[in-house]
Amino acid sequence: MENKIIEKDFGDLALNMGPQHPSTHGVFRLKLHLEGERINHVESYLGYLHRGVEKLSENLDYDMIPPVLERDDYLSPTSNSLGFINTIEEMCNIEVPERASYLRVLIAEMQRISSHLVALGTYGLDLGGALGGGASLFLYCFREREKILDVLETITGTRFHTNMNQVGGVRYDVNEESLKKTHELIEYLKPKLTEYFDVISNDEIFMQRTKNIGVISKDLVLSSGGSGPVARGSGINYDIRKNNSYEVYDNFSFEIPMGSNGDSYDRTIVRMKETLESIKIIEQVLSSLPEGALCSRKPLKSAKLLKPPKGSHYKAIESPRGELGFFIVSDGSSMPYRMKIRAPSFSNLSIVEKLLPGTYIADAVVILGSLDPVFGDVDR
Amino acid sequence: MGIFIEFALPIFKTISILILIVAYLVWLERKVAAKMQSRIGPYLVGKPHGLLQPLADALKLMLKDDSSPKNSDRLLFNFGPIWVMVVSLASFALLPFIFDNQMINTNLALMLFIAISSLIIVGIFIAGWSSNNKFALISVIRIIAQIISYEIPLIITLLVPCIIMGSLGFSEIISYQKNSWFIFYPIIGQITFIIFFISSLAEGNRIPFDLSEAESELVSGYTTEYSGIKFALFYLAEYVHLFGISVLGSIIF
Amino acid sequence: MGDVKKTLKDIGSFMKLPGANLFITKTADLFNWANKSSLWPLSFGLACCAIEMMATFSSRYDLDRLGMITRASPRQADLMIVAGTVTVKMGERIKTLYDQMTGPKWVIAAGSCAISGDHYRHVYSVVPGVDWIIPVDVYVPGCPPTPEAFIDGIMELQNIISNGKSNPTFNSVDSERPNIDEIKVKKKEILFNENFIDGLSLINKCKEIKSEGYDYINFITATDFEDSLVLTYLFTKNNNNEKVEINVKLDSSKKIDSITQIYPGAEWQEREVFDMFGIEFKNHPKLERILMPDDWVGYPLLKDYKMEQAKLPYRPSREDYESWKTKL
Repeated sequence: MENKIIEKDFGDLALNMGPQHPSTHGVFRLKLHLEGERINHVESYLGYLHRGVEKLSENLDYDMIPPVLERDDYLSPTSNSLGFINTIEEMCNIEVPERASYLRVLIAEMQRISSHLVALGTYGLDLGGALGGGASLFLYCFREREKILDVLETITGTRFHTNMNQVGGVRYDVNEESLKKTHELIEYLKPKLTEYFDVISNDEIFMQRTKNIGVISKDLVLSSGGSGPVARGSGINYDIRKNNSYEVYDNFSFEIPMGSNGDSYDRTIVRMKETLESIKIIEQVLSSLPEGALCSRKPLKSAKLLKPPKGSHYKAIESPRGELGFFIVSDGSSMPYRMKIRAPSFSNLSIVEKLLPGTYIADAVVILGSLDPVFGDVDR
Repeated sequence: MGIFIEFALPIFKTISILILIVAYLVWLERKVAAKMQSRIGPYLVGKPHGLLQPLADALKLMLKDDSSPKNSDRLLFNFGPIWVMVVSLASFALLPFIFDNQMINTNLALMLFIAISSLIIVGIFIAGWSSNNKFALISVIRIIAQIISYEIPLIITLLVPCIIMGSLGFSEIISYQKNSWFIFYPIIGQITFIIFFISSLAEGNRIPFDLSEAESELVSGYTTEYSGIKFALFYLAEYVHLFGISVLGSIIF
Repeated sequence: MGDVKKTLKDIGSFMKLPGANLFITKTADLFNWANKSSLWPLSFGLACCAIEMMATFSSRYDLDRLGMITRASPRQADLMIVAGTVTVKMGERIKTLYDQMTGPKWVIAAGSCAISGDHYRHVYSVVPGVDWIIPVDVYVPGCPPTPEAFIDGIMELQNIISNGKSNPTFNSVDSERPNIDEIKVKKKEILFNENFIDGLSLINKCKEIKSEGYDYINFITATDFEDSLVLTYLFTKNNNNEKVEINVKLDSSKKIDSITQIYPGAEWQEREVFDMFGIEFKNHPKLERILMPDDWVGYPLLKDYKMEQAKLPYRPSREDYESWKTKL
């Protein structure tokens, strides 16, 4: 009885983190109910970047949608348009030339590396602070990312909203110069990424901050629809590139890195290993790039409007954050009747409410960062 | 006039030199950190290597509007930064760091220095409490817990050389080390120095003991609600205190 | 900043000393120089442009050269870089942050979304340009602007500061947004007809599916057809790519049982469907709006809901505008 009265007297301390907060990775608001430094329960608020893409795309032609979607998950823009275009191609039975498919994989894997680099860099910032070691990791990661963006710029003309994919193929071709630059990039990145991987997987402070913090059980991941590194960190072998291969991923040999504990450390390590696997894929693309056409359709201005047959279709691809799917309902016209984006970050982030109670404030930041949400993807 | 020359002038001299040193320490920190992170650091403000950067920062902070949050305790809110600055400067009265003779020369200088510098925490507490901001409050709780717990090893390590040298006055300690520094004293010297170094990092809230200002969690700690000149005072006081501890370290060891 | 200069000039003419005016203009120049040389931006990003902003702060472009270091607290910041799409929900917060910053303060609108809303301009939840909410000094075009463009924008702002002439733009309280043409939407009859089950048997069906090993929930969504709403559920088997789709046709009461008892992770998905379609889930632990503000009227993804303009919940008051006109 007495205990209860004391608890009532002090009550909870409700602390608002965000929407403007250095470590919410964008615009996200967490209301933490604290008891001392321990979190009692959490309320989360999102939608600060809700741009109504689903409604907007109901008023756009199919060919107009990919550039809009590229602004969605802004760390890996290509995978957004890739997922959408794969869905449309399956609906309309459009063949893609092999060279185009190879180029799509090339760009997508390069952006997977750059996306994981940003995730790692900002994670370092979460752990470290402004002038500390964390900021150094952030700056190193962004330095390597700049090199990748340079190559993307030589191939497509833009830094990261590449607009590379179009229905039926790709827009831009690679030439000798850009291939040479890509080779140089791979040679440069390989030792660097291995070095970061070694540093992180053996760093005492990093391990102390992340090991056994935010352990996600297999059941929780599955029932929440978690995917990508979050699921693989918990030991679930689910990667759509292998399970239900799209494009030409079947032609390449690569491994799916897995964690075992499902803690923040495992998720970060899985991301780091994935970058190394992506490099393997890029090497194979470069060594076996076939000749051929870039696109099976006419150029956009003279091509017919796409009109998929009536019905619904769902197709998912593996974006750096997980299963990115598109559920499209077509009424036979040139605009989708309804388009649902199955956003990986949205499902991954929904775990946070169940994960945080019982941890400390400092861990809350670590856990949120390890889920790597992108708010353009969460709020759409 | 005689009193003025005797008391005010050395104080003025010390403070102005101190602030200049501290300002350029901040500049140096930014430059060195930039070098480590393969950046350039301050460069364009004051042409050779951004030498005027601290001046511009200080001037700008002075020009900024003053604000105090709603429902805050105005008196304490304004009093906090002044307290912190005054106390951290006051501790320098005891340290012989610029000229040969310190301003106050007593046998108990070390004792007094510890006593004064531990008063800083009071100012920080006042600042955090009166801000009426939860981030500041949590930060202050953390900083008090941290500084109080690290002050004990700090004081104990400082007592070791004092027992060996047999004095608490700085001039005696210095003259004792005429031939060899205390850090070279076999075994004890090195151990005490390592403990002193670690706990002084905690005292000065530097990385990895920057819990109170953990930028990723607590925005910017107890200074979250402070702007303009008051923030500048905190910023300076933090570095002055840090410099003070470093000077102390170089005297003792 | 213009304020300080004016007061200084007043003092100068009052003192009537030889050279006083010269001295005071020089002082004002010094103050302007200090302000321009240490612009501390608020570390605050909204969308894609924020990533480019981070790239600008990082090693290759290094804004620390110009004396810029980010501050997390708005009290200590001088410059707000609005990088990304401003939504109605965020708009209120941006105004609050702007008010929390202590003057003199400046705003850069970076990227076409912050300038005009870009291709989201006519979406219900997007503010068409941040200058509807706060005054803006410099616009940096691009989608997203390259780091070079960012640096150019900042140098432009430095020029503005050193000239002492700040003239921010904003939409006054009287100006109204132009209307857009309404797009006629035709509702269609149900376009797909596989895997339909009755709404009452949903819970049993889900239990059955879960016991078969379909424990991974892909998504829940709904589609608005002519005479009814259709809910779509998609589940996947663990370690496998076998999917099962369930469609439920809803009657006019728009109510259905929640499956959060069986699939706890469906909580957010169901909230999203409630937010966008107004479908009520019975026994849901916390059925509130998730993406839109709590006081939003209407359900955006219904076909009747037009692509109308955002109702700005916050419009700066006339006093705000007056104070901006005189102060800045």
